[in-house]
Amino acid sequence: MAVHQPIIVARALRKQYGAFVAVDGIDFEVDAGECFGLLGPNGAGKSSTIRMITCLSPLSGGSLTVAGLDVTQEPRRVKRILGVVSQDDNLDPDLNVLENMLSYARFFDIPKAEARTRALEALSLFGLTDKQREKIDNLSGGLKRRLTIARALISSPEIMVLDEPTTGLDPQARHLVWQQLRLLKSRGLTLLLTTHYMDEAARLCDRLVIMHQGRILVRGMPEQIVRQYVGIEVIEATGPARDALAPLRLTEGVTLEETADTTYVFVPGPAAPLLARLDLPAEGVSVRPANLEDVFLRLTGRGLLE
Amino acid sequence: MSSLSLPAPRRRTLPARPMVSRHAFNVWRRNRDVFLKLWKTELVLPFIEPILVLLGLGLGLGSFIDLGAHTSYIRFLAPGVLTQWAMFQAVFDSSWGAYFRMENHGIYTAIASTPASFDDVAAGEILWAATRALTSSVAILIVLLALTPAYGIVRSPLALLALPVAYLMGLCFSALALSCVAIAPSLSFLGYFFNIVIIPIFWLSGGFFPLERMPAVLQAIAWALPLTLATSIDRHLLNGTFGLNDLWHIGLMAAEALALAWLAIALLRRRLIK
Repeated sequence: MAVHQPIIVARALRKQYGAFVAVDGIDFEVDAGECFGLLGPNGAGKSSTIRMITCLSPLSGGSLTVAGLDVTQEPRRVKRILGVVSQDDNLDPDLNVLENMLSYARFFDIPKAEARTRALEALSLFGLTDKQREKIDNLSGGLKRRLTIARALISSPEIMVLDEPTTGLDPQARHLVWQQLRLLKSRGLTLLLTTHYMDEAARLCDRLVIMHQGRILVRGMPEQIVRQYVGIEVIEATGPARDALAPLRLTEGVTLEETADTTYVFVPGPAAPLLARLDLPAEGVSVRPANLEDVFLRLTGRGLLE
Repeated sequence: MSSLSLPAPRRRTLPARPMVSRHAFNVWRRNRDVFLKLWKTELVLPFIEPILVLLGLGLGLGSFIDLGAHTSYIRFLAPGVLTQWAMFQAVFDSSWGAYFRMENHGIYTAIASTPASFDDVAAGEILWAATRALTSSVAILIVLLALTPAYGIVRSPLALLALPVAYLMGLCFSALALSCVAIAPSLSFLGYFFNIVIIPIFWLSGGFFPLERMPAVLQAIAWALPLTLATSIDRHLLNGTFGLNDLWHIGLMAAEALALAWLAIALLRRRLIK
C-alpha cells in the first residue's frame, strides 16, 4: 500500500476488569482498506479490544479513535460507520432472514424501500436469496454466520469488525466466509478481524499483531513475522528419529525445541541441505514450511494458557 | 493473569443520566413486528382469562356477596380485571420475554452494535411492554362493553380513558420487571419476582375486595402501588365519577413510571456495559 491512512488508532489502550488487566496499554493502527488481524489465544485481550472499538465497553485508559472520532465521545457516529460481526450469532430468532436485515436497517435510518433493495443485494451476495423467508433456527451454522456478515453490510460500513468470524464452522463454511471477506476487501472495505486460527490470519491479513496476556508480542506482515521469528522451514521428528536430529543443535542460525513427544528444528532457509548431512531413520522425520502457528507457539509457549 | 493489580479506574464514559434517543422507537417497532407476526395466537388469550375471571368470580362467587340492590360483585370486579391483566401482559413481556431476548438471543448486544445504545434498548422494551398492557386493556374493555347490557358495568364514555391509564401503569410494571431482569442471575429468579412481588401486588390492589377492611400498614403500601392506583382510577372512569383525587393518582403513577424507568436503564447498563 503506497499511502498509509490510519482509520483506527489505539494509543496506550487499556482495559481492566476489577484487578484483572485484559488489555495492557497497547498501540496499533489499522490502515484504510487493509485487512488487519488481532491474533492470540483465548483470554489474550482480543475481544476486549474489539468491544472497545465497537463502543460496547468503556476504555480504562489510553485513547481510541475510529475515522478520527473518539469512541468515548461519539459512540453513535463511530457505530454508524462500523459493520459489526460478533463472536456468537446474535440474529433475531423471532424474525425471518429478510426481516432481520430490515429490522437492523432501521437503526441506521435507512428508508424502507432503500433498505429492502440493500437487503436483497446483500443476501444475494452471500447466496442467501433463496433463504429470505427462512426462520433463523432453520439455518446451519455457516448460513447464520454469512447472514450475520450480510446484516452488518446493510449500512454500507467503511469498516467491518469481525470477532472470530469462522470459529465453530465446518471447513466448507470457513472457506466460503474467507472468500466473501476477500471480496469485501476488494471492494475497498477495511477489515479488522480476530482469530486464533493462524492459517486464517495468514490467508486474509495484510498485517497483524499477536496478543498475549493483554500485550502485543509481535506485529507485521504474516510472512515477514514468520521469517523473522521462526524461519523458512521446520523439521519435525518423533520417536527414535528425534536423536538423529541432535547434531543440528550446533548448526548456526538453527533453533531446536523439544516437547514431550516431538522435536522441532526451525531453519532459516531450506532444510534439505541440513538433512542430507544426517543419518536419518526411514520414518519419523518430516519437513514443512514454517507458519504463523510456529511463531505463535514459540512466543506464547506450548503449555495450556488457562 | 497480568502481574499488575491496580484499583479499577473510574468509568469515564458512563453518564448516570439515561441517554435515550429516537432509536428506542426502533426497538419498539422490532417488538411490534414480532407481535404482529403472531397476532392470531396473541389475539385469543387476552380475552379468555378475563372472561373466565369475570364470569367465574363475578357471577359464581358474586352470588354469595350481597352489595345491595344498586350494584353487584361483577361490577366491583370489572375495573380490577381491566388493570390486572394489563399488568400481567407488561410483566410477562418485560421479564421472561426480555430475559430471552437479552441472554439467550443476544439481541440487546446486536442492537447496541448499531447507532442505538443500551439505554435505547431498555427504553424501547419498556415502551413496548406498556403497549402490551394497552392492547390487553382494549380486549378486556370490549368484553366489559359486551357484558354491560346485562350487568351495567360501563356507565360512562370516560371508560375509554382506561386505555391511557393502562399504558401508564404498563410503563411502571414493565420498568419494574426489566429492573428485575437486569439483576437476575438466572431465569428462575424471574419466578421468584413474579411470586413474591407481582402476586402480592395483584391481591393487594383493591380489585377483589375493598382495601378499607385491611390493616392500616397494608393500606398505606397498597396505595403506593400502580395497580391499586390504576384500579381505583378505572373504577371511577367506568362509573363516571372521575375526580381530583384521580388526577393526583395519575401524577403519582407518572412519577413512579419515570423513577422505575430510570432504575431499569441504570441497572441494565450496569449489567451489559462491562
